[in-house]
Amino acid sequence: MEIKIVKKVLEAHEKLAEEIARLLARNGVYAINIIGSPGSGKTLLLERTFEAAAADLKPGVIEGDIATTADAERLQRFGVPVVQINTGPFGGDCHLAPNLIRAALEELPLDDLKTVFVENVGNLVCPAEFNIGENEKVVVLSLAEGEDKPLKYPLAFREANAVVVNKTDLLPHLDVDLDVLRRNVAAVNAGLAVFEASAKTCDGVGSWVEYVRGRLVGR
Amino acid sequence: MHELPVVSSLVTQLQAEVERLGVAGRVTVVHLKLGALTTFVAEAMTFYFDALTKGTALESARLEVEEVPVLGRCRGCGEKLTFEVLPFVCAVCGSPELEITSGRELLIDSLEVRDETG
Repeated sequence: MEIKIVKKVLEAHEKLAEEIARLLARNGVYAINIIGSPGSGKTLLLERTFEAAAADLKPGVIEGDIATTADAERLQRFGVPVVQINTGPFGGDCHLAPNLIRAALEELPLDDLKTVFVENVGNLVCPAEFNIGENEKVVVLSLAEGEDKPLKYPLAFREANAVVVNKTDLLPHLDVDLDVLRRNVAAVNAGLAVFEASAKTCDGVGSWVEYVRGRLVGR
Repeated sequence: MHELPVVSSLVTQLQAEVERLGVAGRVTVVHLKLGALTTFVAEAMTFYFDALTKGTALESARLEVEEVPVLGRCRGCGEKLTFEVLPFVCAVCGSPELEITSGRELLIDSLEVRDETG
């Protein structure tokens, strides 16, 4: 005998993500879920973003790592509220799940914030899979990772609204073809906003910051 | 690598279902639908499923994973599309403006249950 069920396995996750989205909306907070490989430059991009616009963006940060509070410490110098989530200490989850995000949001002063940046665990696979109630996902991809990454990790690039191609200052030292990378990004998601930048030299970071500012217009 | 917590949720959900349906201990097959665009690996899911159901009311059940293809519709010309390889562009008019309509599924589709007498 066969019994038809047809139920989503991640239904509880999705309900929680919807609840988080409502909580953020009630507080007028815009949440950006930042996804990228370990070492792609997610934290430095946030530091540059806050140097340029912390006063306007009024950001709060949720830092996801398997272990250490190093990233949270780097961001605290901007006087922005930071909640560190460790999924570790030695293995740990490879992504931030909505239950962790909801708990972290309770520690942030949402009344005083306009944005929440969630720096997901460094990984291009699992963070793409789980909605956390964010307004949008952004991929940070460093040039040194190679031009084939959009094709190898299509879900992340498909789910995102924007990609920051970071470490453009390394271009002269790499065999990466930027045109091929641009084509590969478009092959997976032609609608992605693409920013080519070096968080190290600040080159190109301005357009990214303007993009984020633009997200808050009329909110 | 992230299949374990997902399969753990699946097993918890299934345990509630078999209780509700009164078929504990009689499920032989669990049919799961898995979209091709998800990052979950079927082999990893069945491996964890067998490990997590050992000694439970689902011990005799096998997990069968059916892949759901990536389907979409072109916003330009309205063509219905099936994607097996990248790029995500319309095969008819070449437009990249697409709506992906299927491929992200992770559903418990059905249960096969042994008759009480058998």
